[in-house]
Amino acid sequence: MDEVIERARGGDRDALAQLWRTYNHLILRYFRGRNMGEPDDLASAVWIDVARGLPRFVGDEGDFRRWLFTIAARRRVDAIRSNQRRRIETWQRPHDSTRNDRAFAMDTADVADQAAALDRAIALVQTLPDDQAEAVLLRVVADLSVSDVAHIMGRTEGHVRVLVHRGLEKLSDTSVTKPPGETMYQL
Amino acid sequence: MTGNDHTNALNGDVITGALRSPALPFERDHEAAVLADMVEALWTAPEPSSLRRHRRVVAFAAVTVASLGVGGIIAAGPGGFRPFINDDKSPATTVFGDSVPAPAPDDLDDEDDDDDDDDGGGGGGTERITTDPDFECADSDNANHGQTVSSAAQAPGSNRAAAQSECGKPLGSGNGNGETGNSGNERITADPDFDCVDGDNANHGQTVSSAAKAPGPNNAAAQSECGKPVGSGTGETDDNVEDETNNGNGNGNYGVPGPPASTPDNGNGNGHANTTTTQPAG
Repeated sequence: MDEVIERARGGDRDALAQLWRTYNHLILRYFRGRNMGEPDDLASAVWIDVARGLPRFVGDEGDFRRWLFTIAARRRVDAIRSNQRRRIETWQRPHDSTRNDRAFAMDTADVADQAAALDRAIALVQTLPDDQAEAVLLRVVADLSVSDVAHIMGRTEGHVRVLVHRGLEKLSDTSVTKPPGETMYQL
Repeated sequence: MTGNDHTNALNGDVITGALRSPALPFERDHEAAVLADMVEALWTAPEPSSLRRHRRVVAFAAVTVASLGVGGIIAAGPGGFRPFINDDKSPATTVFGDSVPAPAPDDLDDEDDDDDDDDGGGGGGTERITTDPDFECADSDNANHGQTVSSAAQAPGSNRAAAQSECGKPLGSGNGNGETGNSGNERITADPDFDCVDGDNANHGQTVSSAAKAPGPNNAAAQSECGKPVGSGTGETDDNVEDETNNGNGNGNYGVPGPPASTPDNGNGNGHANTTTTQPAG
């Protein structure tokens, strides 16, 4: 991946595409978990910022991941300040219209199951308090270290550990205690 | 671990697994459009900070050099701006190094009206009003300038001419306005009749000291070159006590060529006259 980043810095389109395929879905889930409207637009804005900053970027894959989600977090704050926040329910996932016949390893049934599981997980994360949702998403989805999450959130590492622990604990409790009829929360 | 904890952990793992699952097809939409925007943004991105820093350093160096150049011109003295100052008759003109306020417009008018020779090459200070040629020193030559002005002030009429006159002033303190004013390097002509009393080995201080102990005026000894090193003067000759163009280490006062100093109070403008104070013997 370090080589890919280096090639992307030089403007290699394939390397840029590889970076995008590796991280774009994580950015989308982060924005969806944070209840942001139009996560595709926000993710696109993040990638444009990444492209603008790539010539100045120095670091390995871990640094790139931390930098990427730092940009995403700032984009989210900017979007909130711009009063562009909308409920995630308004975001229409283009299941049928844009899904094409590109080669995927999964068959249609698996894709549907995983998409449903993802929707349920994100819906659970949205029920968390803001701090806990942010910490869980950055720690779990972005796979950042506690120190990186603390740096992005402007909190101490101990505080981040507590937020992640309480967030995951609340997610587990919620998924278990929901009524059986609400299958959305049964994972 | 209880059964409930096991269930929570399992559910947590399921949630985490779902959040970390590979990209789904709908999450790969708009790839082509986003990549096109990224490539465009990459090529239009600002240059790296190293280049910008380099350009900042170059700009800073240019500004520094320009500042030093301007500072050098200013430090070169007011002579460089003199033509502009002379051409400008505005009373608001400020001369570099000038601590004397500019004269009032009325004074400038008067100066223009009755002044014929105030455009001399005075070097550093502001131009002084030309002395009235019709004014004559009323007191004796031994009275200083303050006494002259004071006596004139007690007389009826205007005493401006007395204040502007050179009466009682040391010969070396010329006003620098006259045609004879120069850059201040000329020294007062020493007395041609003075001969070095001591031998050639005596220094200048010893010469002056011995002359001070003798009766009569002793400024000629002070103004002489007796006992000075041969190379100490900047004049054309080193041993020309009689030479009127003996340029010594002038201190900026404007020399007034003329007869040798005839009074004990007359200084030569270069500080040597102060050494001629008569010391009581013993």
